[in-house]
Amino acid sequence: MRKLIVFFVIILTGVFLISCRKEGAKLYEVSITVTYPAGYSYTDLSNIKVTVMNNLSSRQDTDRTNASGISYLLLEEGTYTVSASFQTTEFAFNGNSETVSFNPANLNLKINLVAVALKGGLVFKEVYYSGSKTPAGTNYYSDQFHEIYNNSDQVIYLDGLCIGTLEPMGTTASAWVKSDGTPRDSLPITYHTWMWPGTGTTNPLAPRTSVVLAQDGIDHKTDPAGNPGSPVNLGGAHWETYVQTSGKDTDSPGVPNLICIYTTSTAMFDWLSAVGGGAIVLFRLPTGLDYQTFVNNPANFEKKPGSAAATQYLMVDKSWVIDAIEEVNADPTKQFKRLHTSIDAGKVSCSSSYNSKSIRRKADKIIDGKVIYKDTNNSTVDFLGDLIPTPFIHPTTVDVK
Amino acid sequence: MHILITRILCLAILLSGIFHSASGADTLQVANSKLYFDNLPLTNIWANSTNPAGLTFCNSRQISLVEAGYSFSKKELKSPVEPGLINSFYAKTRGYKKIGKLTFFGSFGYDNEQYRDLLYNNTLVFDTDNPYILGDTIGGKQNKEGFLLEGAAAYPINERISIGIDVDYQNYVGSKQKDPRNRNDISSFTITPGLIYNGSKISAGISAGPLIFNNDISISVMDDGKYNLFQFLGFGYFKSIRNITSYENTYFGKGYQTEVQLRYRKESYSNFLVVNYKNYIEEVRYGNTKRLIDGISGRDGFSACNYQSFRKNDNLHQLNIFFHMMNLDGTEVMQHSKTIIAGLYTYDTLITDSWVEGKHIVSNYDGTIEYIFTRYNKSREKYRVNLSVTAGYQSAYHYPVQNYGFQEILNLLVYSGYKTYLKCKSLAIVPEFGIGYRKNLSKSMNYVVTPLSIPELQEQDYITRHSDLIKANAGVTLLKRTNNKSLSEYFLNLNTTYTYFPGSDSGGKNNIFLIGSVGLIF
Repeated sequence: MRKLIVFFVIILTGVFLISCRKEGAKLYEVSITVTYPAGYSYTDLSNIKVTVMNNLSSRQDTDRTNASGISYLLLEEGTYTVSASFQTTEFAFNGNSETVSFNPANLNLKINLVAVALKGGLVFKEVYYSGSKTPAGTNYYSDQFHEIYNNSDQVIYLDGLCIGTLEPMGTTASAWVKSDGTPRDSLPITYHTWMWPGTGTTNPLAPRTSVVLAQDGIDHKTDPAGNPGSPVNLGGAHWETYVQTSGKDTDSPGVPNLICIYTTSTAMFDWLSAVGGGAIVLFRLPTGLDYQTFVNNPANFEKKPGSAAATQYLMVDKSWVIDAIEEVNADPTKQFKRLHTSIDAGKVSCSSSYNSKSIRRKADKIIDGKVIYKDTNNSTVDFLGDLIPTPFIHPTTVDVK
Repeated sequence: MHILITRILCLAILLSGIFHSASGADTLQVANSKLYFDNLPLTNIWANSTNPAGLTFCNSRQISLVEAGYSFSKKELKSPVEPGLINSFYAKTRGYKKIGKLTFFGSFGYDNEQYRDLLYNNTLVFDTDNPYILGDTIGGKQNKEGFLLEGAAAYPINERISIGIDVDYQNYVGSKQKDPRNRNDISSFTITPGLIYNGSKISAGISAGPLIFNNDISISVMDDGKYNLFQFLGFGYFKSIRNITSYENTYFGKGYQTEVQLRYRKESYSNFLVVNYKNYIEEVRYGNTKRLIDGISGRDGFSACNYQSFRKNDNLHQLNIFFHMMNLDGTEVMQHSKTIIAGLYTYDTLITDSWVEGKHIVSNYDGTIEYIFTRYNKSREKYRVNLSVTAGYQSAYHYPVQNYGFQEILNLLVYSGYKTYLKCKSLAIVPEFGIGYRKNLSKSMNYVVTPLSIPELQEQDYITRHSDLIKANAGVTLLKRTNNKSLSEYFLNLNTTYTYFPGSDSGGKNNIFLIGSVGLIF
């Protein structure tokens, strides 16, 4: 009996020593304070939607600010993407903060909203960048397209409109950042930079209509050079990016070509958008600046910061941007912002490469059978991901907000 | 399946009856037999500890065993990170030898295991408590081949004090034959020195040493596809690793164990107490230079085992009490590397985005009381009966519990076994069988589904851990003595274990395990 007592005393001692474990991770009250941009006279800070996403678990919490513009949320320790959005009849307000670390030593965050006038104009209606699989299981990306929509009530001329994708195209963080880590004001265009031809009034786009810009303007489903597994027929595309200088690209008859004003690579024989998601911009050069003058000025080029490579990137000021989309990789750990919050405060993705799916802007209103697409310069709330591509076709019902 | 098990049990009982009456006054040779290895924990009580100095008390001058075998395991109910089917071939040799006052032990083994029905685990280490497992959802043939080496030596410095050292090294290479293919290089190393003070009534020992474990996993893709991997974080929650064509990570573990032993003996009474503490920390690292951490699991293990025996005439009574507990504390880490541009040069630095301790906490407690009665006939074993009762409590909490969940399980297992030793001329037959029943006494679970979770993992783990079960095992060992001086015995061993899960959660599933081996004693 005495030995049994000794044995149990030993067990209890061991249990006591090892069971003195630390507590599990807790929830902390985090305060997020939202402020309007300087100079904006509106003072009501209540009811602004705040969205907080845990970067590791993708768990999302939403809340509304109180009258002081503060939202209190119970969150676990970790790294978050925090965004706030609000809209008046004139402006869309967006605030975004990536990789915010909330821990017991840091439980407060301030988000400054950026205002964008809701003026309508040209917007990306749909982008199909993910590509498709052939019946043999190989990758196919020649069926990529960008559809651009006139979201205004006036005719807009496409002449001189430019399109390009930003460096980096892959899933690495951008080196083109300021000392505080936010994107620079000048945007580096990689590979080809394209421009719509015309004298200024050559290519009108009527209100509430769109044009489709194809990588290759063919019926990808049936064309011998296409892919029976492709989801799109781009034989009726309005425009095409034909890389004439490569001598390897195919020029689709009947589909007019854009002008390549500059390229960082002569080896590329297609204008390839990143199948895992890139940052795409639609922009116009300032009035009076023709593209030859622009690309012949060495001041408009830069090498990649920190890189020994000699590649010179064409730099575009963010104030020239008409519309932009931050397309990102589906893996939350590989999502890096390249666009400034004032251009696109959010991001959108397809679940994987070569899945035959596109991203499309939400239909906000339908008036007289014509769509007004949602445009708050925040692709997280403006776009839907992983949709079956619908070039030339517009929704007949409003999308859920 | 029930009929098969019933038949095996009936046959074993029948055989034991026939040979029991036939055995008469014949006795079993243990000294140069496989039974020497089987009975070592009884004949040398120090074999129940990790103390290599206990080798000093081996009573054989020289004995060696060579064995080759095959085992088959099919589990319909299993942990989600275990294989459903295992075919295993193995060969091993081990032996003891005394040279002067030195006692040596050596062991060398080869394992070749094939796995089927294995998802969610590319580590090829089936640790059901580890929250940080790298896996995918594509099944395929998995093979693992390994070599196991162990060597130990003990030396009595004087009549009272003995010292010893044990070195154990294992190395496995494993791979999957289907994309995404994992190649695993697994190695473990332990070194344990020990010391024993051997008094007339009271003996005491201490042993301690480091533990090192490494599992380098390299994932590659042969076709032109891209695949998704899951770095599990416990409870089925995961970090997604998407569209990969290659990926590498490493499980690097290090720790130590320390153990004290105390023996008291008086005439035919013996009491042996072993108290063990183990501390082990394992990091999961990834990236080209394996600098980035996904998770850290730290374990504290404590066990206390008391072996009490009393022999009176031909009857040996043993009362063993075992207590084991283990606490696992999972730290979830999120890091990334960043290229810093400083003028004309750049460098990569490590950014820790979050480091959350106490994210996943597992506690396991097991207590067993076992009674063994052994009947002897002229100092040789005749039969053995054992009865044990085990209470096991397991809890796993993923914090903050409000956002994720927990599970708690309390089970009671009752097991009884019978083994007899029969002899017919130079052939010895050792049939054995047993039956057990596990009853769940309490269980509770709460689980929150998130965008990055696979609820099936948690549910299957929960069902496997708490399901009531009926277990039956039966086996026989045939031992044939020879007149050859250099070969004293050859043997055949067959064993099977059948487990039936009758509960509604487990859906009446069955698990079966078979093992057969042949070997030589020389």
